This record gives sequence, C-alpha cells and structure tokens, in this order.
Amino acid sequence: MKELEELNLPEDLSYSIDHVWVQNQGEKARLGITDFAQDQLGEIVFVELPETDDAFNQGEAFCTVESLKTVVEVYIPIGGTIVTVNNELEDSPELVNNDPYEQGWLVEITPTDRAALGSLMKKDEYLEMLKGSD
Amino acid sequence: MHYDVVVVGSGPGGYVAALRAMQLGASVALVEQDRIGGVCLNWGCIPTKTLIASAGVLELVKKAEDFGLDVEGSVRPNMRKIIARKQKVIETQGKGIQNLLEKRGISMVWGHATVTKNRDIEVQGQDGGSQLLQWNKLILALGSSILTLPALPIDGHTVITSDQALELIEVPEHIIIVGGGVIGCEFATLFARLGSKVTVIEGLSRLLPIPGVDAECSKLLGREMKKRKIDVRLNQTVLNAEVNEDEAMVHIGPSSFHASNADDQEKRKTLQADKVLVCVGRRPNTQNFNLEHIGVRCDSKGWIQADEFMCAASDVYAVGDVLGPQRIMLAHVASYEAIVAAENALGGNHRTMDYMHAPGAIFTAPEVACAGLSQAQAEDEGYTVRSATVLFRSLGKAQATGELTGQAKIIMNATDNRLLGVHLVGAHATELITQAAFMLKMGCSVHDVAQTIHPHPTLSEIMFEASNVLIGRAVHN
Repeated sequence: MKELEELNLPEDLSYSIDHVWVQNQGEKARLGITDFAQDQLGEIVFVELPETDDAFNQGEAFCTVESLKTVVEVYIPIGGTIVTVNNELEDSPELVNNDPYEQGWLVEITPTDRAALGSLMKKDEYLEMLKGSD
Repeated sequence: MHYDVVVVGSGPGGYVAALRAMQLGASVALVEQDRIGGVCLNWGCIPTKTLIASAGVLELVKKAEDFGLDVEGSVRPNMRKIIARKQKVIETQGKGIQNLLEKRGISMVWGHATVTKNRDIEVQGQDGGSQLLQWNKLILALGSSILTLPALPIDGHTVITSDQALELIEVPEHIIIVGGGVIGCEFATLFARLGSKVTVIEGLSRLLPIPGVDAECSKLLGREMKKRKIDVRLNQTVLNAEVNEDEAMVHIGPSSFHASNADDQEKRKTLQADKVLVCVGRRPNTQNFNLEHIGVRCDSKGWIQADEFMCAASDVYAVGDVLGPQRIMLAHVASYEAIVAAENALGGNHRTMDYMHAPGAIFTAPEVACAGLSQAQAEDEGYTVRSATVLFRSLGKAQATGELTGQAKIIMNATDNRLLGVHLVGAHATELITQAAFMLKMGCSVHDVAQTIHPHPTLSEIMFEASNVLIGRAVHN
C-alpha cells in the first residue's frame, strides 16, 4: 500500500468522499477512481461499466470494480447521464491501476446540475480526509 | 395384468416412485413411451452437465498458463466427440436404472399410456400391439415437454429447441438464446465457453427471474456474462424472425412485461445469428391421456393439480414436472415427491411434501444455488430480514484454485436469528448448497452455523464467514 505522501492526486481534479475523481470538461465531466482507491483495491481484474444514456442520481452506484481481493461498487459523486464509457477497460482493466487519471478513466457524463461540481473536494481537502481516516 | 401400483413415466419422479412402491411390498408396473430416465437423463440434467463438463475442461486448459503450466499446441472443442461422450454417459446411466428396476422385479411396459374409466391403463406399443394394465393405485409422472413461441417456429436446424441444442455437431458462431431462465442461462454460458458469440433475450427485467433466486444472484450472473462477452438484452422480446438454412434475422423489441412504449419503433432491433435456441418454458405431457376419466383436475395451462399428499384424485397420485412451476420443476424435487406419493399410496395419506427447503441448482458458469427464501420473498412474508454477503475471493481456497468469482448471501430473521435463506454464486455452489438446505430443514439459527467448525481451506468456509458477519463476530470480514 502506498503511503499518503506517495499518492498521485492531480491539482486540477475534484474528489469525492467515495474516492472518485471528477474532471470538469465544460459540457461534460470525466470520472474515475483515485490513486488511493486503486491502490487499496489491488490488482483490478474486471470493471463493469454502465451503458451510455443510463442516468444516475448523486450517490448511486454506477460501476462495479473487481480486484483479486474484493468487489466494490463505485458511487457517482454528481448526478448525470452517461455519455461515453471507457471501452478499453473491457479487455484491459489493469489500466485503472496503472494510469487511474488518464487511460484508466471510467465514464464521461453530462451533469444534471453543474453546480454540484462545486460541492466536491479539492486535492488538499481530499488528502486531509484521507489523513483523518488513516 | 393387475398391479398394486402402476407408474406412468420413468423420469426421476416415476422410476423412484416405482422403486419405493416395490420396497413397500407392492407389485409395480412402470410405463414409458420414450427413453428410460425421462427428461432429466436424456435431455436435461445429465446431458447438459456432460457438455458443461467438456466446456469446463476446455476452459481449464486455456487457463493452464495462469497455473504455471506450459501447454503446446491448440485446444478446441470437437462437438462430435463431446456429443458421443454425452451419449455414453446417458446410456450407462439408463442401463443402470433399467437393471435396478428389473432386479427389483418391476415390470417395464413400453408404449403410450391412456387411462380408461375402469381403473385400466391401455398401453399402445410402438409395434402396434396394446396391453391393458389394471391398477389399485396410479402414480402419474408424465413429465413436461418443450414450449415453443408462435413468433419463432422451430425448424430444427436454424431455430432449435434445447433437446436439439444437445445434438449440435458444430459450435455455433453466433447463437441467440431466447429466454434467460435456468435453461437459457445454462446454455448461454455453455456456448460462450465453447467459443460461440452469445446473445440472451429475456422478457423480464432480470436473468433467472425466479422468485426463489435472490435478485443479487441474477445481477452477479449478469456481470459474469459480461465478462464472457455475452450480450444480455433484458426487457426484450422476439417480435418475429426471418429464417433460412444458414441464418436467422431476429427482430426484437421492448417486451410487454416492460412498462415502456412497446410500440416504439426506434427501440426495435434486428439481430443476426446462425442459430436461435428457444428456451421459453415447458408444457405438461397430459395430452391424449384422458385424465378426466379418473377425476384428475388440471389448471388452465394443463398442469395437474395435486394436494400436499401428492394426491390428484382418489387412489391417483401425481409427481414431478407435470405438476407445473407452482411445485418447482426440478428432478430432485420430483424424486422426493415420488417417495411421498408412493408411501401415501401404499400406507394411506400420512406424509406431506415439504417444498420449503428444496434447493435449486443452476449450472451456469459460475454456478448459482439457492435454498430457502430470497430476500424479496422473506420481506414479502413479513420477516424482519437481515442479510450478509461474503465474497468467495476472501477465502484462501478460492485464491489457491483461482476460483475467485461469486459470493454467499445468508438471510436471517432478525427477531430470532433463524436462517431463512442461502444464495450462492460461484464455483461448486451447487455442491455447497446442501449444507444450507440441511440447516434450513433443521431450523438452525445463524449462531448454529457460526458455531460449526468448517474445514480449512475449503469453499464451505463461506457459510461460517457469512454467518459470523451476520451476528457481528466475523474475524476476517
């Protein structure tokens, strides 16, 4: 497991309490799981993605990630409709481990309420949260 | 000829009824018009499991490298050999049953049976001859046959039944399976493992839409099918199809079970495949049997109505598939009903059938097995439900054998900690469920399970783990 100071947490992303990162792309937002989450999960062997046009309310499970040691549901930090899913993960789920913020992204959504993006944490707040739960 | 008991149908209901009646001292005749062993042995449980076993070995060889084995050359299914192996297993089992029946002195009578009003059964042999059998007690184990869809007539080549799917001499390139119930799902994972591209079309909102199967099992099986790249279309139904010798174009649309606009043209899709397998249910084998002559009643679909003693009319008992889905159409349920029926026929109605704890065993990949109530059933019955789920991958044995997939869900009544249901998805789930069925039958509490030493390292430890999670004493989870 990584020490907190070893975690890669890009400055330009927002973070949820459920370890999902959100990249504001204007009309769309791209989502994935954080370096902390992938590290905790260990070797990821399957990612079950939603279908495009599926709509989710904030806090609903939108994706399931299976690692060698556990299976977790991933909760959507802001409500929205799925526009694109990362089909590369179908055959290469390890991208989530190797490159959680670039090649290992999960989905792109159109947020139901763009203002909800403002409720997410910045890097420092997320890191503080992790320190608190450490 | 006069017999104390005449049994019609030699499936797992009929032949077991005949054996039990004989044990109890009766003279017994067993009538069969087709193959000994019924659907179970010839077109159901046993042949599908032999094919699934071949697919399992194929999959293991393909995974050999993961286990540190270097394998040279290629491995591929040879359907002719797989089918020949299946046939050999059927014949061996069939001969075994026949020898057992003969040794016990049961008279086998071959042909189609019809009843008369005079406690006679007329058996019309294939050679044109007929025999009259007189009975004191009659046990009907008539079984069921394949149900088909008007929109998708069976041509036996491109559009096939599950019976015909067991005889395919080539692995289909793309097979559409209509029906995501037990049979459809078993064939879906079977053909996917053999190398087919598979599409499953199910009219309801989940795979295995059976009340006794917990919704979580359906969800998990759906995820496993995604892993195998099986295309699952829920809430969809077949509208019609164009079929020729080589392929079928199947038009599907939102099913009438689904609340959305069934007529929405945009939601209609066309799928192309070289085989279409229709697995939409069963129908009772009661045609031309003249059941009305002996006062046996059937429901609107033709399933025989029997009471808790398996009694369908005075001195007439009925067991197995012919009782319909209300009574659980499974071979092991039929065999148990047969014992109850035979004992009641010969000893007066004293034993009742307990369906409550009948386990279900579904041989998908991974397997699904359930005993007792699903969470939805338990809630509907007014229990204060608590459940716990443990993943197989948390067990050392699962890691050692690479069988990570799946979980166990234990459901209990929170007011008295009594076990209500167990739902397993994973390797060997169909073997592991017996423990749960026994515990449910004994009325065990979750504490009883949590205080039973389970051997390590085994997959059975999942029951220990899950029950300890439920009572807040889990060490690992």
